[in-house]
This record gives sequence, structure tokens and C-alpha cells, in this order.
Amino acid sequence: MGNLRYLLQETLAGLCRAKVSFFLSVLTVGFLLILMGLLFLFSQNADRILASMNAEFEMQVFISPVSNDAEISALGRRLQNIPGIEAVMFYSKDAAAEEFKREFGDEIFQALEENPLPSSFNVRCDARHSDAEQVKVLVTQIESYPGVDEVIYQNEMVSTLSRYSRVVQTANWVLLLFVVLGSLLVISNTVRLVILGRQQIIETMRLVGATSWLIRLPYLLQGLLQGALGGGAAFLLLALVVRFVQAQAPGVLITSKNTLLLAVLVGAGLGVFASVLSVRRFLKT
Amino acid sequence: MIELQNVRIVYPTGEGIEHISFRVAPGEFLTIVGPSGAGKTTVLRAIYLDLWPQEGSVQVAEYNSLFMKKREIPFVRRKLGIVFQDFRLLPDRDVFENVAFACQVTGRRQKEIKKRVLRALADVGLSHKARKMPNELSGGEQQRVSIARAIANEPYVLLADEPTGNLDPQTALEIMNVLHRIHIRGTAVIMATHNYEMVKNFAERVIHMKNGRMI
Repeated sequence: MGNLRYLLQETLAGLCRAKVSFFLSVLTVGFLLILMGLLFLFSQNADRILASMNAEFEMQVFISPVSNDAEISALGRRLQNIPGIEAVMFYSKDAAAEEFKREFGDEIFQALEENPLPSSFNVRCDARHSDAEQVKVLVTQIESYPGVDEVIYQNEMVSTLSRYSRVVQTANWVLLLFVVLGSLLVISNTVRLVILGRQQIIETMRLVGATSWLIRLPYLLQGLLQGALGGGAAFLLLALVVRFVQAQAPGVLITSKNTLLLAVLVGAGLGVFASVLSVRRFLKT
Repeated sequence: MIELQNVRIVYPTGEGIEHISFRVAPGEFLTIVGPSGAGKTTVLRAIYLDLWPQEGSVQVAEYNSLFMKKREIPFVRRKLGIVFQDFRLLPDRDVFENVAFACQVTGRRQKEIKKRVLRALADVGLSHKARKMPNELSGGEQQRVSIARAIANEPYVLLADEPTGNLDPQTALEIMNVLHRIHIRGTAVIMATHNYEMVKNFAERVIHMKNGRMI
């Protein structure tokens, strides 16, 4: 009981003594975690959107007008045998004309003597084979088949989003390094300052028989508190951002409270680790 | 019981202590006398294991430096009370809190701490100054607080390193009387001093030291 009381008193007294440094640590850790959290949210949601787009990924394989029926059905079989292709559906010239008429009217067919639209295969890829790079390879492969005139797919958005997602993921790793190093630096420095300012009390504790753990624990708790408070601040701000985006654009940003709570855990973990570094270096028991 | 056997501790400068052997029985009053640099403080530091013997052994109650682990040092120190020449009080705590601190960090209950602190302050005659800050006290009073802190945990042995070194003769005599009273009640005392004249009336047993050796 006496120990617990002492621990709490000493933890708070140490932080009060270095309050400016403590405040700056919390602020820095919070800021870094917010930045990382935002990038993480972007990356997580970009991946989700990409996955859903990829899951529905389709391409249109237009057939050369000189191909006969036998060649067309051979092409259809060949497409079906490509690994990663989930479904192949044939659209005849007439079906294409019907759809065109539904969308644009039949004026053009009245002006022309024959149906100018080519027959085509609608090809759907499965999710595992539909990232931008694999799709590109697939398109080149299909374009080389005899009887294929042109392959059309909506690649712009997929590849842009995929590119951004990769950039953000890389940025996130780099930022993680900054978060770790930055947090360790500011928290361990604050704990160092507190330890240096408490030399007399530490020495007295040693002499009256306090255990190493009791001497060290307040400083470890101080690190934990700094990291967790920084993480807590990041959690609150990120939760606000998520709520705002969800209200403005429903369905774009999806995440869970548990994911956001990670910020507090990461902050607390970094705080303890930073304290351990300082305690090992500056506190001799 | 405290026993040093052939203890040797040499600092990187080449100074230190060698061939130190003695035994202190419960309730004894031992005075270690010698000029500055004789090694008196080193002997006391060896007893509270602030310095680990490079040769020989130190025994404090059931703990022996040859067989114990370093993490047991705090438990050795709980059997000792230590008083320094420069008092080493915590300036941001009052007299009561300074004495209570020793009990607090050894995990005693709040109720028991209060009882022990009040008794220790009564023993050194400072009950009426429990709420004074260290800077409001005279040197002699500060040393009495430091003694109260040392005896609050009811130590096996009280170690006093030049406890009168910073005090005028009259105040030094008062401190010696306090230490004597503690000794009379059954606590062993080991005191290091360079001023034999001042303590000779209280000395039961004396060890003389010079250049790191007992003479």
C-alpha cells in the first residue's frame, strides 16, 4: 500500500517537475500518431476500394469482323481456359446493336445499311488475378490471339488507385520509422530530465533499501503515460476525422474503433520502451 | 551480527582498503577512527554494499557477499540505518515526510508508518518540528532528522559516517548523546570519525585506521 502510494506520488511529481517537456512529448507523439493514423486509414480504405473494384473487374474483347463462327467459338474456348478468368460471355453483333439502340436510339442504324458494331466477349477476371499489372499482361496476351481486334478495359482508375495505394503504403512505413524514432527520442529525453532532477531522491531510496523495481517503476510509468496520452489524443482526433468523412461521404471511409485504439497501444508501447532506454542508461540502482 | 573478513577494495586511483577484518555483535558500539583518507567511509560503504569487496567477504545478518545476489542488496540495507555527515535530507519534504520516506519505500502500511515516524522523532527529540522543512532547521536538528530516518525502520545496525563532522562541538555532543541513547536501547552502532577526542567518552570499542588498513 505504501509502495503504491509512493509510486503514484513519484510518477506525478516527476511529470510535474518536467511539465513543459512532458507536454511537448505528448504533443509530438500525438501528432506523429495522427499522421500515421491518417495514412493508415487511407491505405486501408484504398485497398478495400481496389479489392471491390478488382472483384468486379471486366474487359471487353472485340472480335475481328472477318472471323467466322468456328474461329469465334475457338476464341471463346481459349479465353475460358486462361487461368484467372472467371466468366466469358458472348455478345453477338445483334446483341450489341440492341444494347446500342437502348442507350442511343436507332437513328444510326437507319442511316447505315448494315450493323457496324463488332461481336465481342465480355470477360470477367477473378479477384486474385485482377491487379493492374496482371491485367496488363492478360490484355497483351489476349490481344495477340487470332481473331481479336481490340481489348478494352477501364484501367485508368484501377492503376491510379493501385499506384497511390502503393505510394501511401511506402510512406506509411517511412512514417512508422519517424514515429518510432521521434517518440523514443522525445519521451526518453523527458524521462532523462526527470531522472537527472531526482538524483537525490534516487540515492536516498537506494540507501534505505528500496528495490530496483520500485526505484525504476515511476520512470517507466511516466513513459507509459506520455505515450498513452499522445496515443489517446491521436485516437480522439482520428475518430473525429472518421466521423466527419463518414457523414460527408458515406461508405468511403470504413474502419473500426479497435483499429483506432491501436494508436493508444502503439503510443503506450513506445512510451514504455523509451523509458526503459533512459532508465537503463541514466538510472543506476 | 556484522562481520568483515579480510576485505579488500581498491579504487582505480590505487587507494582503498586492505586486510579489513572485524566483527560487531548485536548491541555493540564500534567507533572507527582515523584521519581523512584512511578508508573509514570505504569500510562503511562495504558494509552497506555500496562497494562490493574485491577480496574477502562481508556478512550482514544472514546475508554474505560471497553467496548473495546483487538484487538482494536492498534487503541488506533494510537491516541497516545510515547517517551521513551531510544529512542528505530531501529538501522538498518536511521532517515527517523525510522520516516516513524510508518506511514508505520499504512497503510499510500507512498506519504503521505514522507510528514509527512519531516514535523515531520522539527518540531524537524533534516531535515538535514534524512539519518544519529541512531549511528551517539548524544543522544539529537536520542531523537528528537524518538519525530518525535511519532508525524508523528499526535497523539491526546504525551506520554513522562522520555524523558530527559538520556540527559545532556543543551540537556534536547532542548528536553523540542521541546515538548513545539508541545504542543503550539495543541497536548496534558503527560510527566513523576523524575526531577521537570528541567521541572518546562514548567509545566502547575503537578500531584505528590509516592508509586503508587497521592499525
